[in-house]
Amino acid sequence: MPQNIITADKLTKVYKGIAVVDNVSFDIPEGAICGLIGRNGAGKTTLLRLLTGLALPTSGTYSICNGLARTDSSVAAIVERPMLFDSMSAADNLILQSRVLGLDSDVNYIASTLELVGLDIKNKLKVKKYSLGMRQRLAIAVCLLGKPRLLLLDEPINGLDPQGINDMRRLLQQLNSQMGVTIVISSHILSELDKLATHYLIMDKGRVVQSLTAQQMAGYNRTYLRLVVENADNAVQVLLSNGYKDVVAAGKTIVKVYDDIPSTQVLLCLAQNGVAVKSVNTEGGGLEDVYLNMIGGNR
Amino acid sequence: MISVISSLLYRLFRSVYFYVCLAIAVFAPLLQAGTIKLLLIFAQSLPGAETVALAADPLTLLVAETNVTSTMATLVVIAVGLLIGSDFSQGLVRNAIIANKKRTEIYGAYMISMVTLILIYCTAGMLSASVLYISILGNIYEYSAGYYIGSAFAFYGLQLLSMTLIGTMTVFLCVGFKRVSTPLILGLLIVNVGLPLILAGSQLTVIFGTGQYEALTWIPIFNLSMLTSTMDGALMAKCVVGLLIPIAALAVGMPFYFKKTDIR
Repeated sequence: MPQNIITADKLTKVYKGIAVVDNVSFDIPEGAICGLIGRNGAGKTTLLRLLTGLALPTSGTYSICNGLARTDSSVAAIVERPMLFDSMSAADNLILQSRVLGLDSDVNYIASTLELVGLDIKNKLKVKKYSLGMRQRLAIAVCLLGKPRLLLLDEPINGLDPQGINDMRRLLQQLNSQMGVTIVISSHILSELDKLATHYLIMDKGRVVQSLTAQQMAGYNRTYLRLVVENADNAVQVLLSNGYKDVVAAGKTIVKVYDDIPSTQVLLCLAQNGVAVKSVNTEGGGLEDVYLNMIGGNR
Repeated sequence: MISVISSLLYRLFRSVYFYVCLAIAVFAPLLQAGTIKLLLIFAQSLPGAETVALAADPLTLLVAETNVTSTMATLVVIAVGLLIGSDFSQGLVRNAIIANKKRTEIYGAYMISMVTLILIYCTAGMLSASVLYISILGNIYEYSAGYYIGSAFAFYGLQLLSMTLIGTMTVFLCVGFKRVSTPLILGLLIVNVGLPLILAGSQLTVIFGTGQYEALTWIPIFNLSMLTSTMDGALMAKCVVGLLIPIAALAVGMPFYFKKTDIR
């Protein structure tokens, strides 16, 4: 059984009387890719800031890499935005970080690290001229310099084009599968997390709502009947009054029926009660629906 | 700490700003000496020329470089703010913190790098000022060039201390403000407006003609250039202690502040 690389116990951060991270406890096993999900203001970035030491907890504790085993290069992170020196080139940024980590500034190693993220050491362009995608890649390269055991990434694919997102995903998968790097990644692009994550932490209003594996998440991912009607609220009332239990209105004209009942029966019930159905099809929940249901946002 | 210092110095010596400020440190005395020379030439044609000449004594001018209201002090605010303090304002210290460096270690490394920067600028500035003031102004005075240069360097240590005070103050302001422009503006206001106002306020009796000038020997940052004629060992010691106290207060107090705050 893999040991936990991050353990948090009742971690709390209060800003001006508001608990931005509220009594959070969780474990992340080594070798996992953990998706950190939550709406804006849920506390994801603050949690990452706490785990990296950028913010000091109000109360609670956490440990990374089991404390004793941690070295200067064990943990790398990009939190909020890449921290790069704009007046210097990519190679110089890596040399600076290698010095901070106490590593030799070996040109060949720096070149290979840049190549890993699709950048060229021969490019002397200053970072201030870089596109967002290039900055993200360089920031990842800076993180990888010390061969970290743990990588914390705060929305690393925001602002990237589809190719960039694809490249980032492949890189992260490679780091995890070939180098054994544990990755914690927060993102709003749930479809991408769905392709990557082995574990999930779902946050809402500063608390961890759910901590579960990808397999457990899949168990919540139920199929449902999607009905287009004239008045969704009316249709929901009809179904509920006829014994259906798991029915929600998703908008003014959309009804979702999660009960495991044949579609013909549902249609018959509605027709007998004068509710016209414009279309019906079966859909899978997807990570978005599961997440919204967990935080009560699927109205 | 050594690794962070190594990184900081690597960046300093590859920064254009470092060399621009160094050039200013070297050439600013040229402008000052040149301006004074022109004024002397003009003044010598007027009655009271001897008084004007005495007021432009190179030693006094050189020691004026040690003041916290001098050109060097302004340069230190700008250089330290842009090259050292901006890392705190802009959050670039994050990389070191994420790399598990202790905050006191990081802060100590930045202070050492700041002192290194000040050492370089002050040495270059004092050497340049010595050469330029003597060569442009020195031929009208009774002492040899060697005397003036030697005396000036006697105050070199005081200059390092007073500039370290200015640098520490600048870093302190950068830790407290998010935009680097704010601490820079504040630092320049303190050096060029605030301190002269405090000095003027301390000498109101002289300004209004009701009393005599009294050197504030326990606040030597204002008075170094005015103490040249009366400087002795005891007074020098008071000046040194008077500078060390605020440096120690800022340099030692600030790590506690830095240790307890969240990083941007």
